[in-house]
Amino acid sequence: MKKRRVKMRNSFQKRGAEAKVYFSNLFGVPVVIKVRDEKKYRIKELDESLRKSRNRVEARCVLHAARNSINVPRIYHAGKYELVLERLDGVLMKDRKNTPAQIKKVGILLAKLHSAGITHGDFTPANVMFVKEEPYIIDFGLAQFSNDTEERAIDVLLMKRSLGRDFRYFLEGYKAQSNWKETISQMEEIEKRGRYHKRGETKDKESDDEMQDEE
Amino acid sequence: MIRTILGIESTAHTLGIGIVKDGKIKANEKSMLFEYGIHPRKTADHHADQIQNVMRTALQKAKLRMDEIDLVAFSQGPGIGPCLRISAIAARTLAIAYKIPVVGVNHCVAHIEISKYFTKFRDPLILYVSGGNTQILIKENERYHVLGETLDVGIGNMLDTFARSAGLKSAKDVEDKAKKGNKYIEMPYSVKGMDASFSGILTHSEKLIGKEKIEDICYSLQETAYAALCEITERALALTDKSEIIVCGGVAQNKRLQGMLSEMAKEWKCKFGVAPNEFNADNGGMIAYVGYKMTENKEILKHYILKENEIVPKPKYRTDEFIAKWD
Repeated sequence: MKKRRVKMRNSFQKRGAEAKVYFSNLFGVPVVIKVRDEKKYRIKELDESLRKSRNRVEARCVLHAARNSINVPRIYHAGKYELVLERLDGVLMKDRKNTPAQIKKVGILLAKLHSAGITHGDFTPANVMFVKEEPYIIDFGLAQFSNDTEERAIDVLLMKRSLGRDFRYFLEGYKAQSNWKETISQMEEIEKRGRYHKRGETKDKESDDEMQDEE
Repeated sequence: MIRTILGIESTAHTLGIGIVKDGKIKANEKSMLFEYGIHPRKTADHHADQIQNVMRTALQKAKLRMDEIDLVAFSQGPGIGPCLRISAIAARTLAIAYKIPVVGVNHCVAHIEISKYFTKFRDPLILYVSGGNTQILIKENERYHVLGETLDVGIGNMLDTFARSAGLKSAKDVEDKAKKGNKYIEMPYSVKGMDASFSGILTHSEKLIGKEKIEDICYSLQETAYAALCEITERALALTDKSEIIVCGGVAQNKRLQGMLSEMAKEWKCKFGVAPNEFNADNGGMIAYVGYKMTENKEILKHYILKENEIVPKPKYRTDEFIAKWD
């Protein structure tokens, strides 16, 4: 299978951290081929098990999302280390100016994905593609079947970090998810978890106290 | 004209004094207390005891007298409160007694700047791995931004904790044992976007003690944890399109981690660089070097000089709080 595909005049498109992406045609249908190449820096045992399980989970997540009528590229074939997916003709969210209404749509889309029991794992503007004003979620490389608030919160947090002030429009849309309040409070919890964050107003007072101590 | 800078480092187990003259590191002396982890008070006592000796040796090595020092830079944070206090007191004392201006330096930024000095990279992607910190950073608009970091324990802390549970002395022993291991035991592998988590690996490895050969546990633990580090670095690389990678901090001394990262950098056609071990461990030289970077421009320096009452430790000093007004 693999050998034959190489002959199919694939054009190399993009190299992600996870996989290499090629454009190709399957029976005249434009497709994307995503190949998880070997990573030489890690040992073979770990490398193979990671690639295999991620490929399988990705395929299953995309399939499940599509069955729940969520906008995702359709999946044509899943191999051991490669996937053949529908090629969407659109523009990435990070490469265009998005209106508040469009950002809200992305929020609704994530809400639907979470309600279907899937978390994306790398939900950034680089992984949302607009096809004729409709957002599609791409790259399920880190997706999981999960109803865990923590995992959901990470999805929202990644988007928050990328959107900055525009995050409020996203949030408006995300409120379509029934547990959104829980997710947002978990997200705030995660934000505090990073190392050495200021804890409210007490910090300045503390250093003043220390100063007096030393004197 | 400011030419000579004294740097004082005391964020954790190492007390370090470094001297930079005309942009060259003239002395880098240290004294370390590490006996199965860090006891804050004992460590601070050790620093207080040793600081005069270390400072004297550093001045002798650089062939300088105290009154020839033009600027004192001290590590303001992040770190352990009682230890940090020693360098703050020392800096304040010197400021008052010798009328020397004092600047506060962020410890993490110092690690990065010294690595940039040795590798001569201008705009690298930085993986900062040490006992308390595990971060991926880039510089943008005069600040180091954290793209990803550990969600629980720092990688060095994880290695040290495991070493203690297994009856080894420190993370260095884990590296040595791992060289003899060859059987891979599956470990929890946790990467979330550009963040990673290591507490799962720690718990799992601790449970294996006694059931598997210690060499194999160390080997699997290292391989898994470092693969996670490489993966988040690779992700950040794919996102930022940088052409240089630096690894810095205490754990950066690990040969296997260096090997994995340079292998990954090669695949991406990136340059990979790491500072000499002496400067990856905590040291005073890097603090003095950041002090030197501040003096390169007079206008910039004004911004950093601290008033007497501002010379206090900041135990929770974030990397992205520090403004680095140079390129």
